[in-house]
Amino acid sequence: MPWRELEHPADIRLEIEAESLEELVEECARGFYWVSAGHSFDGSFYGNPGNISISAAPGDVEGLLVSWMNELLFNLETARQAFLPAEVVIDLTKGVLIVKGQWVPASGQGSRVKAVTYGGVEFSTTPRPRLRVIMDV
Amino acid sequence: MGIQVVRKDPVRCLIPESAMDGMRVPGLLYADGRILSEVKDDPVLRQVANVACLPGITGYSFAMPDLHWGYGFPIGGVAAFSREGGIVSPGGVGYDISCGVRLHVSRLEEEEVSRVLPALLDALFSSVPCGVGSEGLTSLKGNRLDAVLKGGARWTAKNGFGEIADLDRIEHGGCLDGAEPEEVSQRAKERGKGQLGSLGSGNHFLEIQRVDEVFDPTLAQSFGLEPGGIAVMIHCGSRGLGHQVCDDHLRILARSVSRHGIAIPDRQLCCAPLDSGEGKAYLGAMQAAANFALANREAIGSRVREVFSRFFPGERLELLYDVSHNMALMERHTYNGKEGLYCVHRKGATRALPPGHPGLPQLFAKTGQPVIIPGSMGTASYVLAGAKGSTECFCSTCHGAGRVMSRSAALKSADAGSVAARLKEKGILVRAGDLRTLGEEAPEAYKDVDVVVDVVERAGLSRKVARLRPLAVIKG
Repeated sequence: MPWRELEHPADIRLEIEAESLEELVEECARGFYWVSAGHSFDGSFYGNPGNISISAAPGDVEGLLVSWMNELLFNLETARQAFLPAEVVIDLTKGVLIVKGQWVPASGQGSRVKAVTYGGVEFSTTPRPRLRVIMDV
Repeated sequence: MGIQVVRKDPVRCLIPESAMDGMRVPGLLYADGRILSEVKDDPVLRQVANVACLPGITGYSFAMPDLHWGYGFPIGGVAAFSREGGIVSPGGVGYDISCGVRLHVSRLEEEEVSRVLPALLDALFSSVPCGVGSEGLTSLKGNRLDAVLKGGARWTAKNGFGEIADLDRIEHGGCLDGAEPEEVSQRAKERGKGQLGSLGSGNHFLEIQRVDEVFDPTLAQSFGLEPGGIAVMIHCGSRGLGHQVCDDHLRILARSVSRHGIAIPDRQLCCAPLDSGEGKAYLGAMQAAANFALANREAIGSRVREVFSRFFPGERLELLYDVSHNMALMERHTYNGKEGLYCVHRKGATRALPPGHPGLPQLFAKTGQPVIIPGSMGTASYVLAGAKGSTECFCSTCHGAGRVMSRSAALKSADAGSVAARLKEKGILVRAGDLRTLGEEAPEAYKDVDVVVDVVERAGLSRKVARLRPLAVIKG
C-alpha cells in the first residue's frame, strides 16, 4: 500500500506516498478512508459523478491536502458518502485543488476520524511526493 | 536533539529558556522520575518549549504529569496569556472543545447493583448512543441548535433533557455567556445537529464505579462519596461540532497569524491577539462549542438517571460535578503578586479552584472545586479537590492518565476479545460501540493514573479525596 501508519501515542499518524502530486491526492483519499472507515471503497462502482474544490493560500500544499481530507471527513460523517477521485487538477500558484470523481454510499458508516490535523504535518517532494499527517480519532 | 530538562524538586522539572530559541518563559513540567523517563525523548517536550514562544505567555509553559504528544500544545499543557499583548490559540484548546467529565453519585451499594449489573449495563448501552457515527437523543435544527450553543446545559435542563438543580454543579453554571453561535459555521452545525446526547467514540466512556478508597473522609462525605458507594462517570465532549469549530478557526488564524506579526514554531500553534477580530471570533465560537459539550453531558446524565430509576425506583443519581479539560477562558488571577485577566488555556488539563476562591460556587467554597480524573479502562479513577498550590499554575491540575502507547502498538499487544476477557477476570463488564476501540484503549496503553495523581498531590495542585474502581464500562 502507498500509505503506512507511523508511531503516535494517542492518534493515527499516516505516511502517504505517490509518484506525483495528483496521485498523492488520490492516495490521501484512500488512506483517509482506510483509517476512518476501515476500507477504501475501491470496490464501489455505482456512484454519482461530482466535483470537490479546495482552496488554500498560494503554494500551500499541506493546507490543500489537509483540507481535502477534512472535506472527505465532513461528507462521510454528515452525508454517509465517500468520494472516489477520478481526475485531479492542482494549481499551486492559486492554491486551488479540483477533484472530479464519484460519490458512493458509505453504507451507514460514520467516521472514526474526528479531524485531520495540521499537527506535525510534513510534505516533501524527494524522492517523490510524500505527506505525513496525524488524524484525531 | 533533545530538549534540556533540569530537575527542580522531586515533582518539578524546568525547561530553561535557553533550551530553544524564541522561548519567552521557561517550561515547568510536573513529573517524578518515572514520568520524566517516559517522556524525556518524546516530541512532547519540544511542544512545551514551542508554547513558551507565544506572545504574552506569563510565568511558565506548564505541563501536567499526564502529558503526551498533542496538536500544537501538548496534551496536559497549561498556558496563561496576559490580556494585553496575549493571544488565543485553538491549538491550546484542542479539537474536542470542552471535552470533560462528570460524576453522578448515589446512595446505592455495590451488592444491590451487582445483582442487576449485566441488565443495567445493557439498558444503558441501548439508551446512550455511542460509537462511530452514533446519532444523538434528539435532532436539533436551526434556532434550536443555536439555542443550545447559547444556553449550554441551561437549555438542556429547561427543555426536558436535564435538571435545573444540576446547574450549580456544572462548571460556569452550565453555560458560558460569551458564546457566539453566529461564529459557528454551518458545517459545524451540520455535524452537531444530530449528536446531542451521544458519547461518540475514541477514549470516551460511561462507567459504573464503586468508591474503592477514601483518602479524605471529611471532603468525601461532603462530596457524597462513601466507601463501597456507587457512582457513574461520563467522559465525552462536543462531538463533530467542536472538531469542526477548531478546524474552521485554525484555517482562519493560519491565514492571519503573519499579518499580526506573530512567528510560530508549529502551524498548529496558529493564534490571534486576544483583542483582534479573529481572536474574538474564535473565543465566541469556542464557547458556543463548549456549551454544546455541557449540554451533551447533561443530556447523557439525564438518560442515565432514567435507566437507573427503572432498576432502582426512588433512588437518585446526584451530580457531584461536571468539569471540562479542553478550554481557554478569560480568568482573573493573581500571579507573582499582580492581579490581572489572563486567557488560560488548558488542553488536557483541569481547572482546580482552591478553597475560598471567588470563582467557586457557594457549595464548594470551603472544600475547593471537585476535580474528576478518569483513569484508563479497567483501572482506577479519582476524585480530587482543588488545593492552594494550584495557584502556581493558574489553578490547574491533571486530567487523566495520559497515553504511553500508540493505538497500533496497543492492538498488537491485545485484541478486543482478550481485553474484554481480562476485564471480565477482574470482574469488570464491558460493552463497546466499536470493538476495535477496546483493543486500542487497553489499560497498558496509558500511564499509571495512580502515579499521575500522586504527583499533582505532592506538588500541592490538588488533594486526593477518593479512588473509584470500575464495575462496568461502556466504551464509545
